[in-house]
Amino acid sequence: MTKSDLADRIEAEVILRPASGGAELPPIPTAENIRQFEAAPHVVDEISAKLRAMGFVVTTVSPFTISISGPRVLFERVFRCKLTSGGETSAPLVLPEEIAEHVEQVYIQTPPIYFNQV
Amino acid sequence: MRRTKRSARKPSARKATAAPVPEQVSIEVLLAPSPEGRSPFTAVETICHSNVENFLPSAATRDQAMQRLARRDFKIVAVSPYSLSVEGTPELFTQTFGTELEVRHQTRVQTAHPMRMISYFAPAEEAAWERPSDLLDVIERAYIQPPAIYFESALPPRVRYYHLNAPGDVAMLTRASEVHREGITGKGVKVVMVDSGFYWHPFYKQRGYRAEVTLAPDAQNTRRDDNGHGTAEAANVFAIAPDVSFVMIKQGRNSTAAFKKAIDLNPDIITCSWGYDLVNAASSNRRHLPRVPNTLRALELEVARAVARGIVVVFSAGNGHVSFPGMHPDVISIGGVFVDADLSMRASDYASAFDSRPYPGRHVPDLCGLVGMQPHAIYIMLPLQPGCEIDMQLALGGAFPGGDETQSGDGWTVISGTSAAAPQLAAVCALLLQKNPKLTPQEIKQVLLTSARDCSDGTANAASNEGVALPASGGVDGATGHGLVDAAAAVKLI
Repeated sequence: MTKSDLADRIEAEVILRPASGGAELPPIPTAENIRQFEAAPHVVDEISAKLRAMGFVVTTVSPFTISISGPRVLFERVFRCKLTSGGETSAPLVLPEEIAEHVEQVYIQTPPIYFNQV
Repeated sequence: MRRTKRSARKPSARKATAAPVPEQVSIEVLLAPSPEGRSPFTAVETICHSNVENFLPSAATRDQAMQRLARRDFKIVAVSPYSLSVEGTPELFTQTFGTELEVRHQTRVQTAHPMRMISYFAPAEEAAWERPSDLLDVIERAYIQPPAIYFESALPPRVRYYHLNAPGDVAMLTRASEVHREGITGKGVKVVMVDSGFYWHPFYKQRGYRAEVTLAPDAQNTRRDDNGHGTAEAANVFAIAPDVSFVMIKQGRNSTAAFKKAIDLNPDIITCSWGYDLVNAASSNRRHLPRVPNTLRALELEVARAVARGIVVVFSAGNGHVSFPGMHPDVISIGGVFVDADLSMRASDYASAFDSRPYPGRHVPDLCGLVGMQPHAIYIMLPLQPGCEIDMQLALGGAFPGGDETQSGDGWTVISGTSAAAPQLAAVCALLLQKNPKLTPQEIKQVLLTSARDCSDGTANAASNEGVALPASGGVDGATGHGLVDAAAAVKLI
């Protein structure tokens, strides 16, 4: 992969809908209530497979989220959006029909601040 | 070493490398031997203290050489009985001695892989050199001096201001040294740090610390840490818990993916010296956001999952930032206390302290580690990859407190921030878990809070609290929470 390929790559987190349906979820996820936010086990595999079929690389999964990676053009095509050079978008991504039932939303990730500096 | 042929008469014509070519050359001028003396260039024996006087030029020769070189516009910068150190432009050197110069490039620090280059003038291959008639009888030779190479060192450079060294000072001030005497050093406890990477600096190798590096899915190259942050802050872990099983997860752009990778390694502790600043950037006084942005929802879920699995999760409180996940209720949130040379303590005005709006009732920080003061929290001497971003930034800041007074590219920096405090606390957690592996994250947090040392002076960073700096006071306070961590007191409690 070249440097320009890397620079053009987008990282995102896919939030899965909880198996419980989400209507009565606590407002803040904590260690005590976190299991209520889990998606159904088959959903993680099913959505991961669909994302791969769309061309994304599935990098890590958990019971709540799927990390994906792919070129900017792929994100723009699949989620019908326009991304800035920093990977930002002013509007929420539009979920394709085949994953919308089990996916709450997809969020593009930005690097954190290292706290040696102000 | 790379070479670039060029004429010394046009010193600014070429800038082939990242580092600019210096405008002056440093020259060592060896004086002509006295009539009864000998030339060091004809000596067959080793020149040492017992015979060096045999090569002593006359004082008159030295004075004449100084006068004539000065007349030619060379600047005399140091004088000894044997040689003169002078400076001049490359053109002046060429004009005086008829020597063609070229620009050469070399790495500043001797390491296993390429680092930032520096550039300097040197005589071209087979270049002529001739003394002009006015210097013929007073100087023997004149050599342009190449720049010194810094050898990557396990020992830090000396700086002239008050600061802490790792591991010694950090271990002492957190009272971990006392715990080490009991044989508690973090052995058998797995600490994962999610950060910019880990460079195998001699600081780590020479002390026999054990570390592994794992890549997050979007990171590359386990051997490099081009930012330097992770390499530097990891030293805080080893200062307090030298025998931990340490894993650095080098993260890329997606911190959540890196954090998930950390959970997958089944560690006892995850420590993170980074976060996101939850403020309305458009507001004049950095108004806090009322809720965690959806873009960070995944990270919020993963932090809670880690603690639910029994992993102790430590996050920095920020340096004036309204830090997330440092404000999440499940993490141990670490602020800063500055310990002065007389061992007096005050809240670091560099570290964050605030009440979280997204998590009502949650105050940041829980307690503190060692953090310096504004403007740059230059406080703890730490190793990093020579020539990395942090190494170059602070070295170029000038005298303390604007800069850290280390050399750019020497592989050392003096920094802190709550980035240093979080791994200190993670390491204290490791000491507790070695003594009692059954402690839960909640129990560990409680032990740390109960045993912390009260800090009653100073204020935290106003930028973290909408312009109002929270003060420290007797007991639990806004600036430092429960105060400075006390490893010895914490270990005694369990």
